[in-house]
Amino acid sequence: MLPAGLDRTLSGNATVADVPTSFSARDRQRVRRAFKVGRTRDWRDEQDLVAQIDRLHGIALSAIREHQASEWREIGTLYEFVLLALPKEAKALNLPFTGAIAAPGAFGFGPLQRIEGNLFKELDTALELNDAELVDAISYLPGKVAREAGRLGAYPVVRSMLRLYPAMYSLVRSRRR
Amino acid sequence: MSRADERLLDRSLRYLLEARYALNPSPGADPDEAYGRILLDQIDQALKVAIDTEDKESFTQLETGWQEIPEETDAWLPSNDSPSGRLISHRRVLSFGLAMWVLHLVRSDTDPISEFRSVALRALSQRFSDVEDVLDIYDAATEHDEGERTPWTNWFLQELPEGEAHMIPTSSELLVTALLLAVAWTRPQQAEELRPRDWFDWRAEEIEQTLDRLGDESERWAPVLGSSTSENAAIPVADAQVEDWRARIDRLREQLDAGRKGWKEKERQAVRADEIDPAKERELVQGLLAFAKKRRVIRQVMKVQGAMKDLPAKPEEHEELAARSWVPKRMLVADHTVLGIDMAGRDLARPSLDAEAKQLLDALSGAQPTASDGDEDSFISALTDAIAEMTDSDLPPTLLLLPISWRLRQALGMAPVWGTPDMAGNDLVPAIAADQFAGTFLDVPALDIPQVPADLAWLISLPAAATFIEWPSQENSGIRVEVEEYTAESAATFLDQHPDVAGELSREEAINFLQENVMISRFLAWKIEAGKSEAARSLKLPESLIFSN
Repeated sequence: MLPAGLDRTLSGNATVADVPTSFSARDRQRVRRAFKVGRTRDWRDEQDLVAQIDRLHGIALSAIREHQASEWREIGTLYEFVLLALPKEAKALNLPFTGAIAAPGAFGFGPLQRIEGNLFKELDTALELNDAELVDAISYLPGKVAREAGRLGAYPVVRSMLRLYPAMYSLVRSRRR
Repeated sequence: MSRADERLLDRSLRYLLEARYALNPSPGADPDEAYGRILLDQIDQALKVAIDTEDKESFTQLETGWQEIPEETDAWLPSNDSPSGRLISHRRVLSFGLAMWVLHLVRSDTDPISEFRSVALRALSQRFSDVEDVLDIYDAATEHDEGERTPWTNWFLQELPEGEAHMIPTSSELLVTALLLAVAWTRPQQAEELRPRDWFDWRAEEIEQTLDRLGDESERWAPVLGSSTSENAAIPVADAQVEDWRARIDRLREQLDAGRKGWKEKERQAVRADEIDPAKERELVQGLLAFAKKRRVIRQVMKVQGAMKDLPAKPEEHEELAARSWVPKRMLVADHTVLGIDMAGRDLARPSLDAEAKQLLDALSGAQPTASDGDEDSFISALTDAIAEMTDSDLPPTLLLLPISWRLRQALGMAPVWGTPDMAGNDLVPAIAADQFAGTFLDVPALDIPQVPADLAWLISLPAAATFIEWPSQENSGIRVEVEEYTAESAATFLDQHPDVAGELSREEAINFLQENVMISRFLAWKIEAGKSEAARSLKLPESLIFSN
């Protein structure tokens, strides 16, 4: 139970989480660690993450221009890690990956949309360079992440990844015309 | 097309369709509905791209592929409220939307229907099993669209210029699609009738127009969605297709018409079986009483001029006068949303308001007529003389009752019809009704009301001319209201007692009529009694001052 809810302003002595009495000391410690209550909202972590993703995107584009599919796959693995990290944490805490957790400010417009946009740009670049192997690698990733995100109940991630496919199809059809 | 393009074309569709393998978390388990909806929405989007770019191969691959999300089984029914059932229903709604989109593109184009669009329309139409199935999915599609759970509005918006207001045609495009697919599934020899639906009635005109248009365009649609053979070898296939298409439209028209009548009958039956909602009855009666109370200008004038007598109860010998009206019962049953019940109440109040003026004029029927020479000047002079004569004989006029005529007002130097004279402080005028007066003539307050005959004016001296006698009524409105509804039994009894009510209706029709209507009776809780005949005079208006429509 989360009486205060995530992303809320709390007064002093507010209850952040109710846990069953059956929880062991270790479980309680884990739950305690799962919360961060700050004096003011701190966006720095998220900004750091977005900056890291932008750096990854730069490296990914360089790898694509040099036709380095294996190097791109490593970056793809990092994208996957970032996309699934929070859903995995939410699942471990038995929280639905919706609302404050998935919405802008926590993990909404930011890392998720950033990676979605990056993947599309990287695919477009690979297409321009006529690199079929890279096209294969990049186009495979959204489906893989979506399936895993589906298992975690992280539907915003599922939607963000799966909608890349009609966009890819539209891209290739528009190039054909 | 480059190798990378080919690879992306293949992978974008293949990986999208392969995402279905994660639909069921474990073998035999219910599908993950949220995941399934997202997946279906994305395939739908890809299918729309295939339609827009006329990509037959990809369209077929996607359209065939999504039939497995989840797989339709014989056990599936539209009413199957399970994750699988809801997902199948969602897919079929999206499929219907795609048919609508193809149809929209075809209808926006004057060219012959392309091979791709023919194939797409045929494939999408084949996903239904019969006309009822088409109409069920149309109903679901309309519901989804109204709940903004479809992408269709965006599809139309993308075609339209930005920065302008547009009418989004989704509702009418869905109806055209439903009717076109229904024609495709209709067989002229089909004997079964359709299940009645409400929109068969309220969209009857639109249905009729659409079927007319589909009939006019038979040569266009028959080769795509009509029969592919001719039973009669002597008739060319194309001619036979068109003939068959038109026969299908005729049959569907009959079925929809029967369905419309069926719906109306069903509704009538429901109204007959329903009971009046007390809250709605209260709203109607309150509207009636409030309006009646506020607009009793004759009573208010007679009261302020001392021509009123209050009784503690209705006089025993007095036979109550009543106005009776039939009001559709559907207006008063809980299941129907009816706007303007209070306005209906106002309409019901009018006869009792008219009755006040009528009874006053009846009470004045013995008044002495005053002649004039038929022109405006002599009328005004006769009126002036009559006022003086009545004043001299101790019956000073206290009210000039006039018909509605702007020329008459002008001739008497009163406010124009749209104006409001200043009557404040006039002891002969009730403050609450001051705005209804036309003005004064030689200090006599003048009231012009539509119930006064167009060619007469009345000069009245109250309280000598008449008395308003009143006894208790509902909320001092001057009326008592009774609302009567009928069961089959009470309707039959009523008809036995009042056989003339049936008119030209059969007994059964008359009993149904009584059950589908309620009788609203308004009993007058007052009467106007005549006084001295010399206390009133009538004056004939010259032709030039009579208002005629």
